[in-house]
Amino acid sequence: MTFFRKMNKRGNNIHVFAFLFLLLMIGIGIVAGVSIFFGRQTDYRGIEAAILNFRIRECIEQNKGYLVSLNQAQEKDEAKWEIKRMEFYDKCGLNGEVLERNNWARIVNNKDELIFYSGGDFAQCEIKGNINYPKCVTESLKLDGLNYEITTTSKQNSRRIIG
Amino acid sequence: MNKRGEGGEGFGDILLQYIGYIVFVILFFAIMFYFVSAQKNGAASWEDFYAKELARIIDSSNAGETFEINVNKATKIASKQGILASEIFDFDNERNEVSVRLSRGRKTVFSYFNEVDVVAWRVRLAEDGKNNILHFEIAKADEVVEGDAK
Repeated sequence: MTFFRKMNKRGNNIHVFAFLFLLLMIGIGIVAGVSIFFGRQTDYRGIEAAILNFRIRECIEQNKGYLVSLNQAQEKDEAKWEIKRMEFYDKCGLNGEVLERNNWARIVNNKDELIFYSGGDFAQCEIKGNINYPKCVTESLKLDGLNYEITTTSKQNSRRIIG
Repeated sequence: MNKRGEGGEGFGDILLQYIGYIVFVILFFAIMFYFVSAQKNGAASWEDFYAKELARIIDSSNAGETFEINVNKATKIASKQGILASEIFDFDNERNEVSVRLSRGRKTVFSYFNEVDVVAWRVRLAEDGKNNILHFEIAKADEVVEGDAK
């Protein structure tokens, strides 16, 4: 008789695990479903990169002479180049702090001279299909017989913070 | 004669055995209900949407421009969450950030790169509740504007 009671108790314990497992599965299902349905963010990176590209082109057109003095190939000193980069942001009405954090920008002319550069590895622009890589926009601009290729990127996502 | 239930457990006993399960199920579904209802108004996704749209507008703007945007959806969600209209939007000109709050205790922040200041922003609630407007003006960075108000 005692043997049967023990067996019965063991059966009950198994029942508890099955019950908890079932609840866990239902819980995971609900949380995953709701997160997929409501959790998708608007991808603004492409638009941001395009606006930045437009802003830089507009700035270059308004400050033609400045672009020649900016040529990074002529500036080997990294510290001096950083000052020049900040000057560029100021001249174009851009916030350097935000740009250095979220965006990359590069200006190259058709002589393959690097005129302006800020940011990281632009090779990532060539890789398609991975959502984690920055969104890139490349536009060209003809100025004083030279062709300039301006590439801008954005990797900014919104942050949900406590506050 | 072996009557039904004789020598066995009564309904009360069975209920007592399963009371733990029942309490657990009720608790579980209460938590799930709370979670789903917290998400169903989409506060987080609307915060994200408004923050990015405002950043897009600011990035494309020039000093001297004025904007009026219909923010009906935001005010509707915020009022359900007990958030005042004046607390929904905030512009940090020091850090170049726009923040949107549609739920208690959390907000969504997004940066704009255009070096301008957002001034004189306010949410204007319409009497019919259908055309609630966010008004803001763009000024040159660090330009002190008379009557700059939230």
